[in-house]
Amino acid sequence: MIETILTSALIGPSILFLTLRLFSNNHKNTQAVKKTSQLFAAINSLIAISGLIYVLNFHSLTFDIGNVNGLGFSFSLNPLTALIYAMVSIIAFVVLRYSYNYLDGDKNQVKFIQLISITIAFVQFFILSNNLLITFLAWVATSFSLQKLLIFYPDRKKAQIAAKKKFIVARLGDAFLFVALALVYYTFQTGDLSTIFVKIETLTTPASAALEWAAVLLVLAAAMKSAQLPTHGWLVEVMEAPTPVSALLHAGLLNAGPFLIIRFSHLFDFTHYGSILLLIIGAGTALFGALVFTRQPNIKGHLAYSSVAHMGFSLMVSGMGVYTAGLLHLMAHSFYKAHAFLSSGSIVDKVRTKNALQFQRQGSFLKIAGGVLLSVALFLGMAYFWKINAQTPIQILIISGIIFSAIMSLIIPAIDSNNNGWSILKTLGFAALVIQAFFFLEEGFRHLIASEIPPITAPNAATLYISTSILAIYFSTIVIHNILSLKFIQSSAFGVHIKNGFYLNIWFDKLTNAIQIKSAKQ
Amino acid sequence: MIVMEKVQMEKAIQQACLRIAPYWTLKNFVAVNPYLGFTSESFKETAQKMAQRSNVQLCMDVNFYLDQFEDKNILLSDIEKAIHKSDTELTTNEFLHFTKELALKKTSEQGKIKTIIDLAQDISEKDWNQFMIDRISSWASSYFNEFNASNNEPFDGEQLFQSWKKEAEADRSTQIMGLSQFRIKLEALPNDPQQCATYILHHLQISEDIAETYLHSLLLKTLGWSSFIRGIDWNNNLYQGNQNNLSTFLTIVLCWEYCLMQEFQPRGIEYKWERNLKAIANQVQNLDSDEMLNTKLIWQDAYDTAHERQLKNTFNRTSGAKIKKLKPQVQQVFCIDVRSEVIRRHIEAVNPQIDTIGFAGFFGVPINYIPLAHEEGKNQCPVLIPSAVTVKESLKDNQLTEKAVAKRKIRHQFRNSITLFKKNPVSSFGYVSPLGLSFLPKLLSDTFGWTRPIVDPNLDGLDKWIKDQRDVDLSAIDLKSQIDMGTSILTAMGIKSEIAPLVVITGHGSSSTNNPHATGYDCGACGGHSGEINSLTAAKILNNPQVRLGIEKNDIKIPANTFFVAALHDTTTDQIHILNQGDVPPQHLENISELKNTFEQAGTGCRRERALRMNVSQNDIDQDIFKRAKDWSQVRHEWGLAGCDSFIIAPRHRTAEANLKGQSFLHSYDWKSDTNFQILETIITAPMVVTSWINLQYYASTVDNQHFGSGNKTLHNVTGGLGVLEGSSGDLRIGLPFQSIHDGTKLQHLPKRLKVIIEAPIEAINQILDRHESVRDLVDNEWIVLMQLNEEGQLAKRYTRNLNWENISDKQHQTENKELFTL
Repeated sequence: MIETILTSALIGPSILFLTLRLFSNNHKNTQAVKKTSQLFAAINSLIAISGLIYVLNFHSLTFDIGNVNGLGFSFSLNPLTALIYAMVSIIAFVVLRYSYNYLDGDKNQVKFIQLISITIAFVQFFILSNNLLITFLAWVATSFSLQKLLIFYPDRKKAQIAAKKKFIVARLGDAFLFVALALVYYTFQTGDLSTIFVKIETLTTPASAALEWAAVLLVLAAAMKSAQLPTHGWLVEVMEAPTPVSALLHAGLLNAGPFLIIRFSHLFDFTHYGSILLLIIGAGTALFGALVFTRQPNIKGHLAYSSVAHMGFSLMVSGMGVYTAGLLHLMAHSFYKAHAFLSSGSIVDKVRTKNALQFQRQGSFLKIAGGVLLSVALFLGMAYFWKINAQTPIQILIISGIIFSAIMSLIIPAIDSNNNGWSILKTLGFAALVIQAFFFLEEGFRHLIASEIPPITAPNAATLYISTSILAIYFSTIVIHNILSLKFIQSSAFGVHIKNGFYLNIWFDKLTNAIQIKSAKQ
Repeated sequence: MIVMEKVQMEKAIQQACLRIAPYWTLKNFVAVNPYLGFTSESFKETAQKMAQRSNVQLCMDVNFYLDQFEDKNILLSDIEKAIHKSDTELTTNEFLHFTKELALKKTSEQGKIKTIIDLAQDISEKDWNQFMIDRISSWASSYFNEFNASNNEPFDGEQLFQSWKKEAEADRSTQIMGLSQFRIKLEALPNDPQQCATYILHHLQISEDIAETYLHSLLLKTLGWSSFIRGIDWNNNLYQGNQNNLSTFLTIVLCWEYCLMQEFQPRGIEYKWERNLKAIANQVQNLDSDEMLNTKLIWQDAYDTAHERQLKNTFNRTSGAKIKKLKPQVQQVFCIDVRSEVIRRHIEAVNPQIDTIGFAGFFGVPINYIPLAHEEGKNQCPVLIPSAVTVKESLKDNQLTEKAVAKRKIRHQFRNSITLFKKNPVSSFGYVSPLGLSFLPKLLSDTFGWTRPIVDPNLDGLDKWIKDQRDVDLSAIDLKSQIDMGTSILTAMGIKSEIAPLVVITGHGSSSTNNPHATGYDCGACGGHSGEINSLTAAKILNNPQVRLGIEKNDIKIPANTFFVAALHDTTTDQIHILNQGDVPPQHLENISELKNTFEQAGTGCRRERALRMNVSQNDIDQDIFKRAKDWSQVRHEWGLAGCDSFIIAPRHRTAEANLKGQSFLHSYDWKSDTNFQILETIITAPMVVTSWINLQYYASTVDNQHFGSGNKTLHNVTGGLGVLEGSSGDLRIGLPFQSIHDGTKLQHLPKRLKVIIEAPIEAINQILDRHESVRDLVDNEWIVLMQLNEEGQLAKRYTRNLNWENISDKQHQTENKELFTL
């Protein structure tokens, strides 16, 4: 009973957010709606953070009403959902507070705050959901309220185009999710997630075709939600809505994809093909996004393609079975990206200080070699400290390898340049910090959500093969960019193709007739 | 059809390019007159041409004027005057009826001049204009990228035209969207931009009579980038460099025209083009045919007449007499900026012993300023003139300077390493995973305004204590130049005959956070920078005993105990900071602390007054305004120069009693002590031009924010680190954001042309106008209205045209609107 009361407090704030819709959209209500939304956001964060503390210190909480075959009104606060809920609540608070002044004077500010609040509420329902039905409904609902935010300025043609693309992708994703969840329900004859995951763990027979399909379809649904190849087109055009929408979308809604995967990690651990597909889509998108985002000249486009990449990365590591790394990346990216969007106007300040530095690479073989050696030494030292050895699961080694590649691209350009010794030292110190932070967080997150995810198991041959290839590709990319500094990518037609995201979005434009002028007759 | 010779073509191209006004990038977003290329033509003709070429509006929507009429801001007498001036034959009553009918009609959305892209658009019902703009904008954003050190432009080493051509030849977008011939046809065109342009113009059979119109229409399609590139040419003109960039850019748009012509050949575009050429020739002849526009022009005239009437009332209400006071204890020089008017009024009210003076905010020192550890300087002077001397930032102590430079370099190098780490493909994963969570505290502290998302560029990489140690290194300016500058500063400020013990040279700057257009609120006279360094420089020159000796030889006596104080007025918070506190001689310390008290009180009053225009909580105005400066979500931290509508060149006592509401530029000037009217000549040819630029910038952003404004701030997307896009793509957006002129319910800048009010003999003004054709153009063509203040401080005469002046009648036949006509 006490637990029911406690848990009902969890969905309270989301319901409060929904009630904001009761205000009518007029100028008179602006102050009231603005202030109320702040209050609700504060309450929301408070409850979310208390919930997280409670769950981590005591035990998970479940709330269940009207349970018919596990399809009632049920929510669960466990370490995984509590972490994400706390994160979303903070992002929500920041975004709502930002919208307070940012949209001041807009005649539809009330509507804006309402839509943001509703979207947040649905996202939170989705996170806390403990059954298939709520998961599905909340998933669909977020995408509809987001749709309204995308066309907040309905007269903007580009906004309409982006929304149209998003609509197509989202409905496709909904369909995939529906079938996937139906298959899960069919297999286990219950909609209750906790029950399902327990049942999966006790299964001894190989996965049925239904479950294999369910996993594959879940992957496709997640890929659609998180703007994975080749459906990312809408995401890179969402700047047609005010900046807070981008912040909320990139830091809150996109995460639904990886979160879905991590929430269903038991299923992926049990099945075979879903993970492999996830690995391929995630790795491909991550590499694609990473190449393309560096070439976007406008800040929001740059950030959007980078989100595409990071979502890919998060899905990729989940595909390897390292769900903790997926979760860590997802959360880290959220805070990083929310800040990046909201502060995107500050980029001009950076331009204003640009003249203070004339950075030059020297291209000295000795220095590059030294950089490589230093990177290896630093990384191995740290790895030893964190007891990384031959017994460590191969997936962790592969992810560490990617981090190592990254560290090389931090150290090598610093050393092979006209940089001062002190700044090189600082860079090395920073590199050490990055490695430390990675291992620490990796370990920490594993500890935090151990109860909600399956332990890392030895990968199957396909996963192993693909993962190793990914590492090789990523490593070569770093080498090409930083060690060889090959200019051919930079100054060739290939660079144009990269910048245009290999024209995938243009194809999408063509398919959706983006440049068609609606004639007056229609 | 007579096709042009090469010489004629080049001339036409040049003419079209000169039509475009330059754009200054966000790192020093200076106001510019967007109609700069039209000042030699009348306001009316410009409005007609602009409307015809790209549907650019120079007037408000007709309903705006009708509302003003209803609110009695425009009186019938104003309309009568405007009608009288115009060539309409309607009576006032008929005119009003006619306007009302027009108001119900819909305006057309397309410019009437059609280019090949427009024809292709008609044929295929596809928005090729938008498509072309997006493609060009994408290339230009990369090519001109000021931000990314790791150049991300594919053909970045190439010249402008070649870079674009190679990219466009490689870019498959055109093909995918259905322009299958585009890349092939483009490849066949000459690689030399001039040859290419000549070839295309020849091919398109552009004749001389329509060439400028056609080419300018093309440039208007990508007005933002055209303006940006024109800005490059402008600077190259001042500092020697290639000035053909815009004509090269024009070739790019011509290539699109050519390629689309080829593409749509099978669909009969050539025939349409031939007919269209005739249509254009016809349109060029018939500028006057747009009834709606002509009506609006009369209304705009009436609106400006109404403004003149209001100004006259303002001056009639004040006596303008000089209140004889004791020898001033403090002379405080401010920039002519309209925001100075408010703070000056409050300072004078708090302490009548302070004389305030208005002067161009770079204080006569056109400097190239090199901050600590920087390799290149920035020009801190009006963009009309090149900088003349180099000033380096330094600290009071040489050793400290070296230390600070070294530290800054190290910090920048370190940060650069991190940036590379963050931005390289793949390694960005290694950045986000371990470090992303550290953005949580940052996210919160930025939200509450405790921190700035990015350190203030002036302090970036420096320790905080440096603020109090900041000095300027003038070693690059020899003594003689310093003496000359000092002499001319004192002369032009009009204080050479009576210099007070304290002279405060007050520059201004604005503080805001996360605002792409931040520099637009700084001092325009300092080239879109804070006036801090200029005031420090001027004060340092004038405090130098050796310089003073030299100045004395030029017959200016600076009292031995006089000290020049450098100060900075923060226009967001209305605080005035003293910048050279450390140099204050002991005997002045007490005065300075008294001065600080005055500033504090005046600032409080000033904020109260300004708060009326802002949506701040009336309970705690001060805190609310201070917060604005640090709020990363604030889109209206201050109103800037919104509302600017007049420039008064007269002694301060003429305006001291009036509340000019922060709408007037004030330049102190006493013609009786101006031998040969040299000072007046400078004021008319420099500050007056600058104020008209600012006024027209606001004007244009108000009447047509679509073309000459940058739209909605909440959608701004900084591109190439140099400008903004509105949304995900499209043209570079120039001009002011809509939020800068509108508070959500009403306009904060009203579209009034600048009224320049001068107290000086008519002959003197006429002589100066006669000598400077470009300035005379401004008044003759009604870009600004010139009025004269007589010896009683009343508005007496108004400039009409051709150096003629008319009396401003005293009769106030301000008939009530209602009696004659009810709407």
